[in-house]
Amino acid sequence: MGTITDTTRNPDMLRGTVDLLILKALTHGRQHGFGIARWLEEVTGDVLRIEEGSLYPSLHRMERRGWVEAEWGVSDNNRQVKYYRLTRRGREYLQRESSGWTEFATAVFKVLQTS
Amino acid sequence: MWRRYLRLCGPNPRADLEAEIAYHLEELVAYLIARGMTPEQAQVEAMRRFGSVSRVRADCDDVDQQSIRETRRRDMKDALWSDILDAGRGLTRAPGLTIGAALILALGIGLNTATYSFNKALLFPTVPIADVPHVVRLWSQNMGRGVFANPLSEGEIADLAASTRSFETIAAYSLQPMTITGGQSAERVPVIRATINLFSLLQVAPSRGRPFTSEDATQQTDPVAILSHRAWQNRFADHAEVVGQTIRLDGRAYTIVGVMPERFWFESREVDVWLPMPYPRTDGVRDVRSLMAIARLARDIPSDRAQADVQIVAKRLSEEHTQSNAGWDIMLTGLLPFGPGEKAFFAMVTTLTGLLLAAGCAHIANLLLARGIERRGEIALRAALGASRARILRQLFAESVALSLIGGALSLLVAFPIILQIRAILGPVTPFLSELSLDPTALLITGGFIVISSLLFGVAPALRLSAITASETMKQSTTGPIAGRRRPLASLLIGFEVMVATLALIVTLLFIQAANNVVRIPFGFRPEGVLTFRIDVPEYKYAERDDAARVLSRILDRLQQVPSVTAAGGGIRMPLYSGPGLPAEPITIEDLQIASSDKAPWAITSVVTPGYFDALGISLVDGRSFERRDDATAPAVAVVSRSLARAYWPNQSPVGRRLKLADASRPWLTVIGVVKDVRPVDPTSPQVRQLYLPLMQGPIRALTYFVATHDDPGGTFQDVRAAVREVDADLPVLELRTLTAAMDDSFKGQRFGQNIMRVNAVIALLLALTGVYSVVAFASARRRREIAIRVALGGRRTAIVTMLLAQALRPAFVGVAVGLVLAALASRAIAAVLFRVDPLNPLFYAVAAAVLCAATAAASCFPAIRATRVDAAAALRAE
Repeated sequence: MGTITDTTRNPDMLRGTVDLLILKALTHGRQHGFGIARWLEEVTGDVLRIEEGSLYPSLHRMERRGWVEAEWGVSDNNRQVKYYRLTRRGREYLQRESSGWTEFATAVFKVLQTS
Repeated sequence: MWRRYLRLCGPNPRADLEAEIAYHLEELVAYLIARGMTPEQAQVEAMRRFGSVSRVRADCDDVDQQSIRETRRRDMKDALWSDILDAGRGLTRAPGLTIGAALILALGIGLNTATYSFNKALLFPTVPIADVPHVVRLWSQNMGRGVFANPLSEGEIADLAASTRSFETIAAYSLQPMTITGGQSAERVPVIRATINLFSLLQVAPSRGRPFTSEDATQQTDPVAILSHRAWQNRFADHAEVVGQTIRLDGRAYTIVGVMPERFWFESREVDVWLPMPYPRTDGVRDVRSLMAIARLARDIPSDRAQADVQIVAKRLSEEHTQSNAGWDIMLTGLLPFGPGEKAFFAMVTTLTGLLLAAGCAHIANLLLARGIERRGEIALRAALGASRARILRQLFAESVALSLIGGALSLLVAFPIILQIRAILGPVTPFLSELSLDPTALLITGGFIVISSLLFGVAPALRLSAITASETMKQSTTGPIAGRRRPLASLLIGFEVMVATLALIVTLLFIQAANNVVRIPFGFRPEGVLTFRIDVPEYKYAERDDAARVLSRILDRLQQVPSVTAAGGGIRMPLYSGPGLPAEPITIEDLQIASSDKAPWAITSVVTPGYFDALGISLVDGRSFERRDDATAPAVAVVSRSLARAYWPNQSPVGRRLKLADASRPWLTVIGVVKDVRPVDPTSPQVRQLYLPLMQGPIRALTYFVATHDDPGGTFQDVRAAVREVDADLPVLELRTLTAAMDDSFKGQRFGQNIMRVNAVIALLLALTGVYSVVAFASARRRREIAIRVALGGRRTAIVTMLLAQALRPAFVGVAVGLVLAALASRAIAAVLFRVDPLNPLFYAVAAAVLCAATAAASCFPAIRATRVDAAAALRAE
């Protein structure tokens, strides 16, 4: 898998996927956009390369939906930065969607495994 | 929620985004440099990893815009809802103001709507006639005899049709009762006999069958008729084959050739049958006027041109046919002949109601303005807390709108009963008023008027306020000495209300006095203890006129045998007649020289039985009244009224003198007695020259009986019916009731009019009083501090009260003065209608002025005195 998640070609499905990833990233506590990008890089071993800029429209959209909450704060290096935090509704959404996604991925995997 | 709002629509969401992006990119570059890239490589790689910045901006923008829109929508809904709640709270916080204002609105709008609907119905009657403004009625008129609107003669109509160019069509008709049999039971119904062009004039045609042709009108052997829709339903049960069937009228068979459409009616809803009538000819009868005429104006001819045209014909006729037409004029009216009296009355009521509306608006304006000033503190506080000027205005707006809506809704409760009353009282008299309804335009106009004014005055204080900064307003205490400054607008409003009240009061007093004058004149007969009913002798049963007269006379004999009856008699109409004008016939007095043809003698003729004068208590002043011996075989005799005797035999007794009716075939009549005059309902009418002829000597088929009884006439009803049954069991006894009840009907319209005036006056008075009261109360409340200081310094109560009163009473007295002047002018204009009332009689003006001054003084005293009772220390502390 190379640079996937070209969100211009398959916007909706991949937008939804990016949302999930972001929400997951926030389960460990509040984080800013850059931090989320780094966490994703770390966890996926840099296999999943998302356009880092696309995190922001997702974050703003999820804020409107009430899945995350944003607030300005101070970063580790003493700079003004906008932090995002998971809300209860966001947590519920994450739980629902991720179990669904896992089922989907398992099914696909099974199909592809049969030769 | 608050924070999110701030964050989202904070100072600059775009700047936020830029900051976010900038941060991300910088950190990314630093991160890559830390991984070993050169700054330039790091830049390139960072941009690559980040992706298109412009697209990110665009996408975020979209999201943000959507959020902003959603939030704004939600806020607006919240704001609207909270405005409504605030408005409700604001109104309930001052319940007196709200209820008062709502009531005033309700009364003002309601009265005006009802009056306007009524006027519109009269000016533009909703009758099933096409193009009503171009349809006129034609009448003969003889003001010298007090006849305002009278039917026309055949000759007159023929001449009008031939000689005028202003009318497209002229149709003539007459209304008469006939007994209808066939299909179902026998019934006496009104029948209209009309020239065949009537239907085309009204622009209607039968829905079944065909209209009349000229053959139908002229031939005698096979008479035809057209039924009303109702008659068809009742008698032929909607059978489609009704055309060709026959119906019997007064015993004669008529072939049905058509049925009129369902919604059509003319003259009266009771008309069931239409018969054709040959068109009047110039050689027709001229001295009997019994035909109604209706005409449609020719295109582009205004009604005054037609009026002039018609008057030319009348003048020519009065020269060519002096005996029948000298002194007679022809005039036209709209569909309803309204005399100058009614017109003046309508104008008066409309003006007063309109003024009442204006006064009501003034009152509300006053209240709202006062309240607005009182709330200046509150408004300033809100402004200081950050509510925008638009928000404050919107809220006051909402309050005013809520108030107007409440008032508007209540006004329906006022208007509907009035309309229903009008329908009930005047409906039977004028048929199309029986369907009177609220005119929606009226509601809109008056409603809009009030809404606008209440908005204006509700919102004005806020507008004025926003010019001043918040802190300035809060510094200005609302109860300080400056607050006592005169408010010219309030004074103006008080003056206006008081003026309207004065005007209404005086006019009402004048009208009521005039009405009382009318009633107090002795009628000339005694209605108490008398009952009345009518008998119509059908032609098919009693073909000969003499037979009919004999039946009527036999009924009279039987009535006189009833034990509780003291006297019984009959006549052809009610003694008190309130129609447009009785037919006044020309008569010839033996040996009397006539100076000019329009001074020719005339009389209102009536046919009565022996016992008529006794039953009604009309006193005999000379000679004798009719007796049984005055029958067809005896010499022809007559009884005259006193005015007639004085007019034509000025200084001598007319008994034994002779006179002759217009009908040349009738013999000379010898006067045998003189009775007192019976006056008509309109007391200014000179129609008191009454000539009575005995029943047995006249061709009469219908008689109205008057039976005087010992005790309560109601108890004798059964005996009366029994008496009639004994003579002929088939004869229906019509309209059996007491004479007082019958007369009440004549006065119903007048009484209703008086009540309306009274209501107007009372409301105007209440408005003025409450207006004065509230202004003084408000002013004294605002000057609490000043009053407290004065009291504390030992000031005399009366001086303080006087000071407070002066402020309110000065404009009130000016209002009274102006009201008096206006009333004088107005009453002079309607003086003609005020019977025997001097429109400038100082008594009324003095009374009105005294009442208003005393009332306003009293209304001001209470709040003023109460204000001085204030506990000085408490008031000062409360600052």
